[in-house]
Amino acid sequence: MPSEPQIQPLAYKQRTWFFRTLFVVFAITLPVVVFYATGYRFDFTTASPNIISTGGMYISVPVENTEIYINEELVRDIRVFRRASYIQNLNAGVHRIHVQGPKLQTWVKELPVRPHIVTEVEAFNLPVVPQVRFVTPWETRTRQGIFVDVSTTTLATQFAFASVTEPVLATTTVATTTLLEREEYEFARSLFGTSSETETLVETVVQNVNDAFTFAGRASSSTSTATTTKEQRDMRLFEVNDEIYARWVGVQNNTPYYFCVHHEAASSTRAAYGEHVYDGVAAVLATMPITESQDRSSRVCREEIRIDRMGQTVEYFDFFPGNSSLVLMHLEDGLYVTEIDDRSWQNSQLLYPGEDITVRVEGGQIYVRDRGYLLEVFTEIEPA
Amino acid sequence: MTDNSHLLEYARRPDFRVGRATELTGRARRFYRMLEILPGLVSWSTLIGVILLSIYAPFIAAYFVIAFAIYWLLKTAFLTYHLRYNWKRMRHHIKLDWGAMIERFEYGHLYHMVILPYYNEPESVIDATLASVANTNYDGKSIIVVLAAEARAGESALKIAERMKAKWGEQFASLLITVHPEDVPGEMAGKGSNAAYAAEQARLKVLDPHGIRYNHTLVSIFDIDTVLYPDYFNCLVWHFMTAERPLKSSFQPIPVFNNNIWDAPAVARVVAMSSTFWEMVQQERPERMATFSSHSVSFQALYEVGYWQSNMVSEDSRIGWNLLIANNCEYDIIPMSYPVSMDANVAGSLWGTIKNIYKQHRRWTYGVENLCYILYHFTQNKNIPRGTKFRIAFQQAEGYWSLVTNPIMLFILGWAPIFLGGQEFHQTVLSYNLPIMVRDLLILAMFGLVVSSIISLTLIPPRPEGKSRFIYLVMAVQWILVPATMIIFSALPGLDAQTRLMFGKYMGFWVTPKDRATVAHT
Repeated sequence: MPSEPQIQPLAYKQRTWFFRTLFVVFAITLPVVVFYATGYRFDFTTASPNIISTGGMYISVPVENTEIYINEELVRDIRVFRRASYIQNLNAGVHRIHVQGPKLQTWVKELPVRPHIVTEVEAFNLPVVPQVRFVTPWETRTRQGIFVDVSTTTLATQFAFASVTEPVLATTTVATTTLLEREEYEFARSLFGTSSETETLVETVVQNVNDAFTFAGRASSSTSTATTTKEQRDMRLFEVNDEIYARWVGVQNNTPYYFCVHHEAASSTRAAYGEHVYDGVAAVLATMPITESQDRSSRVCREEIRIDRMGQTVEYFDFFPGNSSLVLMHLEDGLYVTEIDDRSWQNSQLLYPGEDITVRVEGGQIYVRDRGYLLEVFTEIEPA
Repeated sequence: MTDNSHLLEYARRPDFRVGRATELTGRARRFYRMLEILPGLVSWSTLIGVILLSIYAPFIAAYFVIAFAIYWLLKTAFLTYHLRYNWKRMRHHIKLDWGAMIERFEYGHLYHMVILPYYNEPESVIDATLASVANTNYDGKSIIVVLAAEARAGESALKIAERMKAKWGEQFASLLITVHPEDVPGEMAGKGSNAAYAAEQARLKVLDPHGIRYNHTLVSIFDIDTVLYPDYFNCLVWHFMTAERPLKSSFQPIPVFNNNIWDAPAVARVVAMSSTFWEMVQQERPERMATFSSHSVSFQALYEVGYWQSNMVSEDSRIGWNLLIANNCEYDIIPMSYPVSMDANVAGSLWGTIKNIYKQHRRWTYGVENLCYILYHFTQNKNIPRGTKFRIAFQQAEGYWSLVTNPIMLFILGWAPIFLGGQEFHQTVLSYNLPIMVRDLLILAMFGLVVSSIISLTLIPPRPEGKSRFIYLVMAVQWILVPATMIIFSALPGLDAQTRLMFGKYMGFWVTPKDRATVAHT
């Protein structure tokens, strides 16, 4: 029998050696990790490898099953945060971004990436084929919508351009006494009222009161009075001289990223973001004291952004449901969705075509009246 | 006037057994009060500092968070290394025949005095503890048991003691029942005052009348739920006989909180095992050890410092510091790497268990009062080398600081720069990479939990009948609770305790309820 245990306590020397080893690991790892975290990378692609400064891009993509391309190359090495992707290791310079998916419209933008800075952007991809649901005046006992004054063939022909998510019946031979009235139809019809494109008296009065209490400083940049104003989550849309503008009315610190750009010189701002963005920046700089305009981050935030109406008359506008960065615009040839973000350009995508339609947004739903039919238009492809 | 001639010279000072600032006067009182404020102040300053740094200097805060996450990863590796080594050593010690190993020593003159302070714990718990003492591989006639009851627990507690004496008295050299009087001026009701009273009664009624020498008596003070492994006393004798200075040493077993582990909910199991693991780690770095919970020491050493302090909460650790300081730091805490089984904290309901664990850990972490004591006496005792003072003070201060701040900084405040850093920080690559890097580093640190999970499975008693094998799986994966338990049962009670001390809201002794459905399996 041994007189003492064979396993001795951990020797002080051994513990000290281990501690010192870990200390050395710490001393080596810390600067490497910090440099990596701040965007420094070792570039092996050149003949003489050196350390370069990279930036990143944070792309919000609300729709699933989409792919992101940067400079025409599919991005695989991304970190996904819910419905957004963070792309690292981008060299400084202007990058072209595509976000596309099957049966979806493609979103494209060119944006600059600066060293150690993440460029934020939000993509949107509407269905190529409009997704609609008929709001019928009647429904059968099995709750299926039904039209009683049109044939199936006629209906199918009239809406051949769209994908109907809920099948409806269309007949000219069924008596309405056997059917049930649909409450939703009455509700949807009431939204359009008798004077479809004008606001109700009450809405107008409320709007005028709101406008009267708008802070002078904010409103003073517009030379004409806004006739229609929509506001959502501190973002205001208003119309002046047939143009639609977006203005941030919330706390300045929370100004959305697309109002702000890095401005160092006129030429670089023009090249990176476009002439129109530079004009906005120049207008802001002209009104600021020199000390304020030269803050150390060179970040300049514009007060308002004009929405591209593609040379057409705006019949109606509102926020895209659930998103205060997108504008829903009823133009002459259809219903469009346009992003407020005007860096490089504004993406516009057709949601629903038609020259003789009326649009209403209520409770997060988009209703369209087209050739006497009431429809709800969906912004995503309904799962099969 | 009390005779204190038996005390060591430094222990004769009137402030040697100070429990709190209010017991001192003048400058000493102000200084001690400042020391009481210090731990809470430093911890709160750290936490608030991280928040302020995140707001006003988010880049520096982010670098700090990254450095801290790397530090945490390496610390996990460091502690896991110690834990695994001690686990190996403990298993080896359990297998050894300590009885045979001590045959080479002359130890027949040694007596073991087992002091069992209790309050209102159930009879079954006391019975199991006495059974385990009686069933050790040691001659019962060399064991003196002191059942230390509390008068404030009433007649029923005394009746239990009498029944226990009737049942087990014959097994031992003596089974003495002591009843600690209630409301003694200057005393705090708690384990320390009861144990000190019991030790003195044992001296007067057993040791002195029988002529048993104090330096031949090894005192083992056990929490009442302590169940001994069969070779505990043999192992203790071996360590005592081989110690460099046996009468200037305390002997610390590993408290394995597993008696009732099969009845404990996952959260209680994780907390209990974490406490065990911490003690296992400490066993491999004895220079950082303090006596904790159940431990052993010679009666001579105890007598020289006047036994346990009766005016404070964490008497189990304080006695180690008393001995260290009174002996001018020429005193050792010797790790035995041999287990004793104790109860995990379990109440009748999950919520009750959570509350009890919180209160128990608040009491344990109130051990920060010992830091004030150490720092105070380090300024008073000029016979302690300066280097020793600095080393011990730094180790203890760092321990109490990290206990409270590290989990909160790592799992909560680590994200502060992202939320508080402002627009300029938010747009940087660093801001986006910070959560990714910290998360990845913490995932890497999870390997420590995997090791913990494996080791914990080897420390649980055999599965009782009626318990599903599925629980083994639960026990393996329960360690994912660690980030939460570290905050809820370590950082928050620690911060609570330090804050109370900081504001002079001194805590009393909270007795952990002991109730056990399953009898110990050793």
